[in-house]
Amino acid sequence: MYEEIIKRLESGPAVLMLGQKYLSLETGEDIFLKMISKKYNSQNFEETYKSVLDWEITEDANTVFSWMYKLSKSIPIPEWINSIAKIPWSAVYTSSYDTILNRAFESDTRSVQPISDEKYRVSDPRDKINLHITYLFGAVGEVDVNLRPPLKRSEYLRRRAVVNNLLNRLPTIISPKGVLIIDGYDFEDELPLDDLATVLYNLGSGQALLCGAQSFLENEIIRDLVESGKLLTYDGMFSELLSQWVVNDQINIYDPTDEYYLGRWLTIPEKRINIPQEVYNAISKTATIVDDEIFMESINEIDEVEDFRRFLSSSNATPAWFGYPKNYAFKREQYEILMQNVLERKKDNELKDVPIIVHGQTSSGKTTSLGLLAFELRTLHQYPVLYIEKRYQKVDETEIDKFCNWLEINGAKKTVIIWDGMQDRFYYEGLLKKLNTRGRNVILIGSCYSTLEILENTNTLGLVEWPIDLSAKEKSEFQKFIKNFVPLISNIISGINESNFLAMMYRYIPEVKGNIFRGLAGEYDFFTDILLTKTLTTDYKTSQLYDAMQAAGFEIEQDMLTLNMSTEMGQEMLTLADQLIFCVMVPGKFGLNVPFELLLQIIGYDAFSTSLFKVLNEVNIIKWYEVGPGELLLGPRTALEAAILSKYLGKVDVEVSIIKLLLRNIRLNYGQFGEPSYQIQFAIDLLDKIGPNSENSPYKSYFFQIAEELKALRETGYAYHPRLILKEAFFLRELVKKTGDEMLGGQNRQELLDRAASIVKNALEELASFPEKSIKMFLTVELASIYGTKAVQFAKSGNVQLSKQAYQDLRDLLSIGFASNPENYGALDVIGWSTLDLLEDEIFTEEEKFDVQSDLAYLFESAEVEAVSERNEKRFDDLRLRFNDLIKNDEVAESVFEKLKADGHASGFFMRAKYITGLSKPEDNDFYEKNLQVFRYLDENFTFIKNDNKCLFLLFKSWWFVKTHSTFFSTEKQTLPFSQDDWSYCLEILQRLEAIEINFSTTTLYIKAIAQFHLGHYRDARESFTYLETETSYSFYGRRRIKKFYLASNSDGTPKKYSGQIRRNVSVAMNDKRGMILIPDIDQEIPFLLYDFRQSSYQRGDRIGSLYIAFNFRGPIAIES
Amino acid sequence: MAQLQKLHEQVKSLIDEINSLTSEKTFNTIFFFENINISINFHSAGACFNELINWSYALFIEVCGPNIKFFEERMKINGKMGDYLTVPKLVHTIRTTTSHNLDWTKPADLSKKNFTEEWYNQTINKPQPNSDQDYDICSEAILNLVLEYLNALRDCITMEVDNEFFEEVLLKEWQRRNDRHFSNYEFECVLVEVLGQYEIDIYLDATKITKREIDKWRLQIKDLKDGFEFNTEAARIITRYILEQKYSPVDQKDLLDSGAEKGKELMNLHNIITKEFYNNPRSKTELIAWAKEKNLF
Repeated sequence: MYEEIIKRLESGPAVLMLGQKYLSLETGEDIFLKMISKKYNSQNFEETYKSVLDWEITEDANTVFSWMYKLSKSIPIPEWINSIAKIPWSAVYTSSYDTILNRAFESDTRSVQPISDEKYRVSDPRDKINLHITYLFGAVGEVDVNLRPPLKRSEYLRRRAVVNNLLNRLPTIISPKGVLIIDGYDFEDELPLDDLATVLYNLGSGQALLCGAQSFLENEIIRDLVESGKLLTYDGMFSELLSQWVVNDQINIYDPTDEYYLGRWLTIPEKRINIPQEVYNAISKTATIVDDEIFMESINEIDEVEDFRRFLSSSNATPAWFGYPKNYAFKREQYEILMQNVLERKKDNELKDVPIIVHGQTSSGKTTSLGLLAFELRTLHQYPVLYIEKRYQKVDETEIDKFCNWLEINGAKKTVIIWDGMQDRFYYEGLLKKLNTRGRNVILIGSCYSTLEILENTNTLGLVEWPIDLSAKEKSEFQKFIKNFVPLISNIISGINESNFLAMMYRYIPEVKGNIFRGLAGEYDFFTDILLTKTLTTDYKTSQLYDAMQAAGFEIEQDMLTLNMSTEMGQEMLTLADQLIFCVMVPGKFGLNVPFELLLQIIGYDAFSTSLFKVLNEVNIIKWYEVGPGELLLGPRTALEAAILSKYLGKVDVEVSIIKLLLRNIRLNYGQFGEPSYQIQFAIDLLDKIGPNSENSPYKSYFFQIAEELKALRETGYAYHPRLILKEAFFLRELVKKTGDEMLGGQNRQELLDRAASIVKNALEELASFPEKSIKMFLTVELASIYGTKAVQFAKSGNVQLSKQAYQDLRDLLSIGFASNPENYGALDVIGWSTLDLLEDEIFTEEEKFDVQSDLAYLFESAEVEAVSERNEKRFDDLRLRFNDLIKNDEVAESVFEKLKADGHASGFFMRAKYITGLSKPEDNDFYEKNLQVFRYLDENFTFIKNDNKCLFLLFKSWWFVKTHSTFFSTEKQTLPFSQDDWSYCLEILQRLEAIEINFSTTTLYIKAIAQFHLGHYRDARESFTYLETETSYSFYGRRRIKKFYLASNSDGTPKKYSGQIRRNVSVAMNDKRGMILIPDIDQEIPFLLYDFRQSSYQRGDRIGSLYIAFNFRGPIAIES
Repeated sequence: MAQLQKLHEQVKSLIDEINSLTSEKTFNTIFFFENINISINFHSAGACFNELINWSYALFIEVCGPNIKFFEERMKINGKMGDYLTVPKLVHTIRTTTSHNLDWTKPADLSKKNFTEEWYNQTINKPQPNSDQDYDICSEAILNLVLEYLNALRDCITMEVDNEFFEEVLLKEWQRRNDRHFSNYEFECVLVEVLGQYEIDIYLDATKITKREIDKWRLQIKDLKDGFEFNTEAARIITRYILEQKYSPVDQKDLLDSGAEKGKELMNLHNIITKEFYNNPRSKTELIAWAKEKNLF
């Protein structure tokens, strides 16, 4: 009778609703109510929570609730609650208001977040690790007066609105997959049955169980709910029922308590380490720790074919770990290359900044192979592995850093991170760089599509292609592989001319033994047939599809609609059933699963949608995926199937209509402007797949329509989010740049650009206090790109003044310092292409031209010194080449030079100095001589250039080369042959530069700190290093941040020797490898690493007679002499 | 050893103190710890450690009724924190690891082994004690933890008896839990009665079965509403277990002792004999003889 309930409890989301009677269930007496009655019920009213409102409690509310809170704390948790608390509930609702439930559900493995306020922002309402307990009537522990339980009727009535709003969230939390268990509820509850019944009517059949139901059986509403199959009842307590299920092995509940106490373990080559719960909890929101037990799941006496199939079908989103020890994963030919790449990185530090990227089409077996890689790295090599699956929730880089750091402290040499994110490959490079700047030792493996950019650069280090087609050898291996499980299928495969890996896997392996697969088209027909028989119910008008039907002119009669009613989408008539299928299949073909809440928004939450989702469970063409602690997604079984089914739509028009339908229904229900949300992330991913930078060109002519959809989201406020604004602006800009007038929706280009600029500016203003930098950086660069595009458009139409104005706006927005930071390469790119376009269009006067040219040359110079990241190197070289071509015959005429000089501009000096070095490189024989000339030239004209950052930087750079015979950061542990005068000169120039330069430059700051150190200004040096360390933390500077480029030196160029005394015990055995050493010569303690001294331990007081001091971005560090 | 003896005496005296305190404050209705009938051999370091573990296990699991569990929650509410809070679990785990045959291929068993080894590592810097000195250090560590725990427990009880809601709320529930706590012996009596109804009581070891199933039976009793009749409910629960026909007078060790071979077949053999027992109940010797006669091993 309760099989469906049990199944839903196991799969979740499981929600518990406890009424006010819960404390009396076991004993027949509610001790909380009894005690408050004794104290406050002076007129002997009935002892119920409802009657409390009539007691006329006159005592000050603070005193009353403080007393009640103390009482709550004194009441032991009922034992039966301890039993039911073992279920991994997704949420708990209660009409009670004592605080016992907080204690009851809080454990070592689960925290509790009480909610009494409808305005409280719930980012993940189904979080099983941080369980939300909703107190419908507030709780006695609340400080805020509005969140406390009502003591008067007026307060109760005021609270009712909040109660209903909180209740309204329930159906969405439960979803058509889940279940609601009600216990401790009766007619005396302050929560009226009508309100509760409204929620129950919104659930599907078999989704709710009412315990202690005897007193309700005569009630008309309950009878109706039972008869309609929506509600099941049980006369006793839920704990009794649960206990029976447990004893009879009918239910399988995972209780993490023992696991928590005994610990989770990770064996690495050196030792076995226990993973503390707080470390585990923190990282598990972002990634899975591939610990010692993850592969140990065993199911006894299961049919092997079914088990194998289970492995295959669960590998679409997350690896099915249990299958790897059973050899269920087919090893592709490329696997060995992948493994080799990983093992090489263990030895070779040169590849530290290079992630390994597995690229290929969807369904080429990447997820399974990455799971296999994790398995083999753990079992064969005992590498610590962190696995990140494809998800819309944010990947928390700080938590990854903390986890890797924790591992390193515990003796791990390197951590392998496998991120099956299907992200642009540069995301992985970014993460790796950031982790490297933090000093982590990481090998990162990512997955992505084979984009055009990747296919053009297949020789790039770290790229491993994962072809969708099996080679002849693989096909034969695959046949042998399948033979282990289903010999009959193996025979079929040998006769089939099919080399598509996915097709092999899914088309030819029976879903269950004895059931030969009926083919995708057959499944689709079967599915739509079922859907078409569904009739829409009276509650249908809540849905978006209802609106769509009305808008299409249908006269909708109650109970008359069926899913074969069609509506026009992209000039095709699509049934509602088709719309639902394609809302999943269209994103699915891009490898994207759709958030459940989004589909719910489209379909509307009512009985119709519930039965609809139930059909999904029956037919299996669309699958549910649960990712992270509560993210529910729907997707196709495989992207390839989705691509095949999407073709049924025919024209791109129809597909775009589906995309627009999805976008239109994106909702942001909470959060500060800019905060991450997984619906937004879905929209962004979808837009990336069809947007200007994608390989999917068919969507180009629909950019305006897409931008209009985003505009509507923004203007209605349904999804006003800076990332969508960024996309809207980007689509508009690309429209203006790359499409014909017929695609502009009847608007002119400048209007579209003005709209883009205006929305981005507004977003930036609203984000002023937003803590995260990256979104602001992207918006700033986008705004600059819009200005750049405007400038170029004006130039082309001959409107020079407006063009110059737009260019000036751009330059005001982006400083050279900002643009030369490797993290902000986009800014450099914008300045680059817009300046070059405008120079080619010859809009500048001669003087302006040299100013602009010298600025650009300086930007390139600075960016080069700050190190352009590898991903942008090619684009950077192209820009420089274009610039050099443009100016090669463009010497500064004397008249222009004099004019610039007279006006106080130093650009003429800069450009003339640049001409001296030309395109020569450090390895050229005359490079030293040219630098000497540049230095002398600028030094002679110091009076004219001393206030110009470009010239000062060039002067400093040439001086440095002349003195050291090397460029900045050329090698590690380099000495600097500077006299005290040299250091003073160096510091003076740098301080001058710093005073002029608006933005931070790591190069100048780093060298300034070293100069301060050499001049004995230790405190100043420490301040400079502290600032540098903070600014470059989690940045794109990568290994540069922790490399020791320079040593404290004598003026003759030898490293300076120091001695020091260890300040505390350090030992490799204790995993404490970083200590502090007191250097008497500088009267400071500085850090050191044991491995730099090739020692396994030091004890406090040990003296090191000879050592060097090196400098990285974090400050001075002692190393062995 | 003298130091260990001294610590053990301190523990015992603290137990007496807790017993006096609770007897007084509960009007002689609750006696926190019953007597422990395990003597400690302070002459052999290894034996001493094992006996201390068994003694502590009895203290925390067997002779305290529901009292330790009841005060676990109160200790948390009163902000008692520290490693000592987990000493009952620690003792339980060490006892399981050292006294039972665990299967390291099972995650749960492997975790217990890892956990115990980690505790040894932290205590004596090696995964297993293998000298008298190691055992002494481990014994001392356990006794110190037990002392800390009992001290915290005494403090917590002292705080709670001063709570304004002690008598009306806490004591009432505490007594209720004691009333609903049934000893192994009480369950065993019901079991013997149920086995008698099926006429198999003379063949099966009721004490052994009770020890094996008691936790699950207690859990089901705990989930019942007040006012139930223990004998009736316990018989109902126990009958369900008996009807599963999984108990046999012969266990796998008996079969190994009688010449059967280890491995997968041993389990099959045991299943066949168990089935035969329910078809035709008889004694261990007769069942083994029957199996041999049938050439089952």
